Amino acid sequence: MAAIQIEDVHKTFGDVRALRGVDLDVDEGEVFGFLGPNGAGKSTTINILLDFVRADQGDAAVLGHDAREESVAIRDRTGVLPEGYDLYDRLTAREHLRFAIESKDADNDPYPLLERVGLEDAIDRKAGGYSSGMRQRLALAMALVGDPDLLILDEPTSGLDPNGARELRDIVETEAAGGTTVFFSSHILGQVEAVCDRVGIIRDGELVAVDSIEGLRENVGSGSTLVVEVDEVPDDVAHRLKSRDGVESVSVDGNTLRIGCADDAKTMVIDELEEMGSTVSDFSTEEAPLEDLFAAYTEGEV
Amino acid sequence: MSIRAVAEKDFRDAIRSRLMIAVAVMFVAFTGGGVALGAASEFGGDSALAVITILMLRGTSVFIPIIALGIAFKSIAGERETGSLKVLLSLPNSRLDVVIGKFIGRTAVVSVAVVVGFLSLLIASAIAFSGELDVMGLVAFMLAALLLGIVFVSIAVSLSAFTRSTFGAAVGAGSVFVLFQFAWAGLVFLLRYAVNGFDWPSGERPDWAEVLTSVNPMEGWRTSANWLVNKLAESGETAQNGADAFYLEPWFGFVVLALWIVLPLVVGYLRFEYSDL
Repeated sequence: MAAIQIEDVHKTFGDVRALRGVDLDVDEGEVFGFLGPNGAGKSTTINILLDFVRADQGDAAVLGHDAREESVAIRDRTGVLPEGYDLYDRLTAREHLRFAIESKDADNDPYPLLERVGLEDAIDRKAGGYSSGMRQRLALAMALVGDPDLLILDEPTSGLDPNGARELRDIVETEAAGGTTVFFSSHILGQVEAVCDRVGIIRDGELVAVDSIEGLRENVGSGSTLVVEVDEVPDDVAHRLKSRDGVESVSVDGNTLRIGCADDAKTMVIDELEEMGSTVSDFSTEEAPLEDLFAAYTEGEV
Repeated sequence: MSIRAVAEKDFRDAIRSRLMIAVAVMFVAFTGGGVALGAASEFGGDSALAVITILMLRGTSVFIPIIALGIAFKSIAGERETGSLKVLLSLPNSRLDVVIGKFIGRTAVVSVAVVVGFLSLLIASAIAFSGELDVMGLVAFMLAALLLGIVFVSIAVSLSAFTRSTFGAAVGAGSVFVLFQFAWAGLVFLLRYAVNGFDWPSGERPDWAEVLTSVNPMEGWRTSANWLVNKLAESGETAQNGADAFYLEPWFGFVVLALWIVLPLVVGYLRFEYSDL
């Protein structure tokens, strides 16, 4: 069964078309990274799943329940870290968790939950004095109440230092190993690469890709860069290479040429360089950085 | 029950804000001041208390709505503005749970403040009038104050569910206060003027104008509070001998109040249920 099913969902705020027909299925037990630049529609999609906002058109279902009609049943089995939330400044971490436990009718003990997120030392301090990282940890602990079947985390690493981000990854992995479906959003591909089974990339309210990271790389294809050392850089090399099929970019740094090109164009590039009178002393291939891969999708190059 | 979780959290949060203590202190000052006035007056025990009761009822009719609106106008809009409403609604709380829970939580805050205020009134009266106390009269007075408090908490929670910002809720609360305290009679008169072909109305007020006047929650409260105080006060006589229309009957006052508790909550909830966060 699908943990999340979104079918042709549209949403407009005023004259901004936030979502223009999003379709997405997330399987049970999967760790799914939901990626896109800020303002692409990630939070709107998540807010529709949580019934914070209502779709103008289309259907959304979570854990087999309709997102609009059976939202309480969904939230009963889901742990949520929302975007743009605030805590209750006058309540302590323990009181926040008690509230979550009581609302969920769960039987957790606040202390071990706070231990998992590394906040047990601040258990009886009021949230008003917390740093943004501590707030994020407390909100995450609240999301873990009641051993949810699904975790929906909207930009969970925002506010966390690198250490906190690593701990978050550990928690996600532990939960996933226990069978929990994890759906989380980020605007940084590097953060999701290590933990995600699949990622979906959203751009301007449309899902432009859903695949594994490897799948995305293959699809972009040209994602690799050919690095060539030559004894002498020929005149007009950039112009000449770029005019050939499969070559996307050429940059020159001293005697080093960096050529973004399709895999099957590499031999042609080497031949072309020799033809222009250069001697190739060395060459290697670099895998495209994740940022480039991400940019390829979000800037509409694919 | 999620309603209970929401109400409990809300009450706890309000106590921490020292809101309730501030209100209780104001209330103690208000009731204590009333007693001091009565004690300083020329009248002896019983009549002094009667004067106090009348004065206090007047004062209460202004003071309690301000307190209740002030305590509750931010209840939902405030959480919407900061974003803590997302935490509240990430948990399995329905929007109805939120509206009812907030209403109960804030009603509890107002109630504790009112009860503390009245206990102090009781003590102050006992000292001022050396033991001759109309306890039932004071209890009736307290019940009446609580009833008015509940009505305005309901209205304020509704406004708070209706608007997207605390500013909007504050404007709404101020408008509601002015409308019910001062403007209602004028509006009813304007309506008569309009119905009369935009001519100055003369003669007896027609029944519909009387009914409209009576459905002002302040009017409903006056009717109910008078009945309560007369019923429970030992000295009181039941003054309702000339009521010849249903809207002058004490029960009508209670119906008006009940409607003003239920209707705002229903309207506020429906608006909240069908809007995006």
